[in-house]
Amino acid sequence: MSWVGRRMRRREDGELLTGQGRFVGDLSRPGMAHAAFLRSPFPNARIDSIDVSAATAMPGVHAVLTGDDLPADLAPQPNTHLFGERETPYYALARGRVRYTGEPVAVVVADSPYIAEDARDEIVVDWEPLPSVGDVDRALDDGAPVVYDDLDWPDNVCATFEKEIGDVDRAFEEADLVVTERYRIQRQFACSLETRGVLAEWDANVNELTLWTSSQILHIARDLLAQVLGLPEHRIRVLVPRIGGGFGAKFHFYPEETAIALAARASGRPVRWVEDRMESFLATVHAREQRAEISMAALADGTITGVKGEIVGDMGAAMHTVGYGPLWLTSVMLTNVYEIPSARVRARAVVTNKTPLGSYRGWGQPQANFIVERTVDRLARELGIEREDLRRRNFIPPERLPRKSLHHTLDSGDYRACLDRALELLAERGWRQRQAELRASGRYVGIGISFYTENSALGPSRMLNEGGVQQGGYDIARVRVEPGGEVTVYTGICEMGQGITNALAQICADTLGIDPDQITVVTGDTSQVPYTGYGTGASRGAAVGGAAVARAATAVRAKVLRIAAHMLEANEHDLVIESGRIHVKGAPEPAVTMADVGRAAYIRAIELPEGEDPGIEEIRAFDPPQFAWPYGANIVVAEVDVETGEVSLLDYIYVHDCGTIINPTIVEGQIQGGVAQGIGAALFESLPYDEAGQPLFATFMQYVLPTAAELPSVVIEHQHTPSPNIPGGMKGVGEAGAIGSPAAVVAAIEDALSPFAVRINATPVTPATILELIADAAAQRREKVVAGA
Amino acid sequence: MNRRVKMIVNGRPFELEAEPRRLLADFLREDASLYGTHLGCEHGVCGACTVLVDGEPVRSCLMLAVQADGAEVETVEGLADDGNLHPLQQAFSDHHALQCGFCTPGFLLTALYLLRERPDLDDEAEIREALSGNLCRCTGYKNIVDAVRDAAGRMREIRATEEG
Repeated sequence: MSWVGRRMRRREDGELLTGQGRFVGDLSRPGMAHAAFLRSPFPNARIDSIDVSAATAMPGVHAVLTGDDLPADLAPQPNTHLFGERETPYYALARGRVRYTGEPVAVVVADSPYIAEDARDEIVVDWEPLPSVGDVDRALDDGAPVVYDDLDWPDNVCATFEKEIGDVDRAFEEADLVVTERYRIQRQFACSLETRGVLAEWDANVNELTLWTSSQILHIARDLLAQVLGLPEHRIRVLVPRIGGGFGAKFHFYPEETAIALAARASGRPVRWVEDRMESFLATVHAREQRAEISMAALADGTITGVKGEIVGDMGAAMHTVGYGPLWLTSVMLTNVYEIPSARVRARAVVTNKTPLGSYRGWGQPQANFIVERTVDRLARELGIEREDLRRRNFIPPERLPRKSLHHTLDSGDYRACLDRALELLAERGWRQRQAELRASGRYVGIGISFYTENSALGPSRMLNEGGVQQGGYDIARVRVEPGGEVTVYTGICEMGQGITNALAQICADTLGIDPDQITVVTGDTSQVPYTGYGTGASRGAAVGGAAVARAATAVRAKVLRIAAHMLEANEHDLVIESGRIHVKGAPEPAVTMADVGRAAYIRAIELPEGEDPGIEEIRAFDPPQFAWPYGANIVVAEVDVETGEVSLLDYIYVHDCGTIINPTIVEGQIQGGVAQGIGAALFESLPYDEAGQPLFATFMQYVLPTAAELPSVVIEHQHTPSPNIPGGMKGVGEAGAIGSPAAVVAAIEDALSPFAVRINATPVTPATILELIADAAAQRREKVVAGA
Repeated sequence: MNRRVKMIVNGRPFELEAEPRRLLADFLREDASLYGTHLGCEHGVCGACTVLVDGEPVRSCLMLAVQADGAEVETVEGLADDGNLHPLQQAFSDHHALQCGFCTPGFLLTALYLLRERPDLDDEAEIREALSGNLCRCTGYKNIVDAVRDAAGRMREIRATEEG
């Protein structure tokens, strides 16, 4: 029986449930000191001078560093996703100029965080505030403050990406209908419950640095730090302990990682810094913020023939680790799963005086999905075709997959079967009828639909490098049989709550024919685990990391069988491994155990076949030939209270296909969690700034996360179309829940408010927004009546 | 000026010097080495640092250690009994009610208080409302709600067995 596909309890639960999990903030080293950062209070300013004398003189303070104290040859913080943008250099600590509120300016090292913060408050900076811009439309105006005026930029456009397929002009000329819509997606961020943390320790004798960090990108963090500090990579050891959620924001390499390393060197002590929550709202990358204009051309029968998209991304003050990658992905996902023969997209990355934009679950795809799916709804309404029918008409049919889309090649699946099953569940749960009944009784209940696909299992290294990404897309795994017969798996994929060690153990168990509880999975230490090309993100851990483990385990299995065959005097091709016992297929006796083989491999080499190397340890890489594309339907039933503007989600149906499922319980958990974040995006979460770039948020009272009281239980069903690109057939699922949910939730609200004929093209849809929409709609109706009279 | 602070934490006495401004959370974590109490916001919203002080749930990021002088404090480390998981902990594992586990100690302590106050609790909406002072960013809450409901049942059964 296979371990893959089974619901299994997670191995880390016991530790986490008893308070024994250790996150960066729980670690300490002998003589450890604590750090606090002074951050810019201005969105744009020159630093004329900094006086740290009072801070340095305080008892318990060990060091104070400013931009002036950085090594002269320190490199700027690197960006690994180079898509032809202008350079936006920024450093561990600001050097004479800040470009966003919250930018790190100085770091204090002291005996306790309390003293470090006291001393931080004694630093005196002579600021010269400069004109600043906090709105992307304003940033594009002639005469707007230029964020990089000192680098002689003519304007605030950092990069422009364009892509075109098919004959777009002809499609639009020959269309029976063209709809054009404008959308606005607000600034949000990943907001893991654990903020970021770093602990650095220098061994001055050998000039080696050990860095514990809450990072999803183990080796990449190490390599980038090495690059910035001018050290060989192997002089740095990066360790990742328990991570309290990442969701992409911890996929980045941050100025604080460099600054804390330098602070440890300067103070001669191990230094720990844990971001406080208020700091996190400004210092951790933001995400999502875009404006978009999209046009779709269609024939009267509903066939979509062309799409034109113009996306503007508010990148904040600098290109962070992934550059404008998410914005780029939005632009090339504008055909979704539809067979649209022509498309022309343009993405412009624009800088403003705000926190840099970066990764967050979905990485540009929730925006693309919102833009496309809301427009498809509009098209359906204008054409008088049911929303689901319009989607069915345009889905790429299963027999035409794999198929090149606007940019990527979608791999496998049956989109129609997936949507149909979701609609069936909607019918089974009686919602069409209940909606009609509730409406008749004066309640505002709506149904929203969206369909998504996800760019998972990143990815083909060659394709990434060709596109400008300075990282691989492969993963490497090492699998070892220990002398006692247990097995250890080493992976560069980090565990951050997604349960990846369980999935990798299940894959390895199946390959080797042993129980998962015989397998230890080691993560999070560059001195132990093999290199990961890309790190933990892009829904790649189970698919790419898993395939690498399967390859290494396959090689281990071959050696185990060779040794066992020698011990059993049998032919290795006749042998099987069942629950750790190796014997001839169909004959359980005689047998040797994994422990017997381990003993032979390490201790009693006399039992090895002639010429066989001692030890059993194999290392293998997997580099996917293409991405894998999971997909799914979200159907939401929502009720709006038109007196208060409050939205209640009455039901949530989610039918999806992520290929081979390793552990359904974990997959469902990922979906529930992803959907929760999408609902947060649709209804609550926002990071607004004023026109000059001052943040209008500071705490969880402004940045509202959904609680148990607001979220529905998601009804989830799985379908199973293996990916042809991944051995084992897995597709990623980590980001999926967050992609299609905002569009479906907003569609349901719009449907609920259909008596008012409102259009909702922006998020979040707060109660205030809803009341305003209803008031506007009422006013417009009155105007019409007046005009008619 | 430091003050002497005494408290009983998970049944064991602690007596330490603390600055008056020292948070109860920092006292528990750094001074008592009980790192299971996590700080998620330090402004009393997320609930990750919830502990029970004399049986009442408290945000240990909003309480000073000196304010807990003389009190009995319960943290996540005190839940399991001789290595046996508390029914709440077991239910959390059974229902996959934790992913990263950072918010989990706060949820467990909130739920412990809740089920002591309301051992009869079974209604999903009531449980959701009662847990709405704790934030989780991973799970979407469904499995946490299911776990608390299941744990309530298990605890009722245990009580019935003990009483019967």
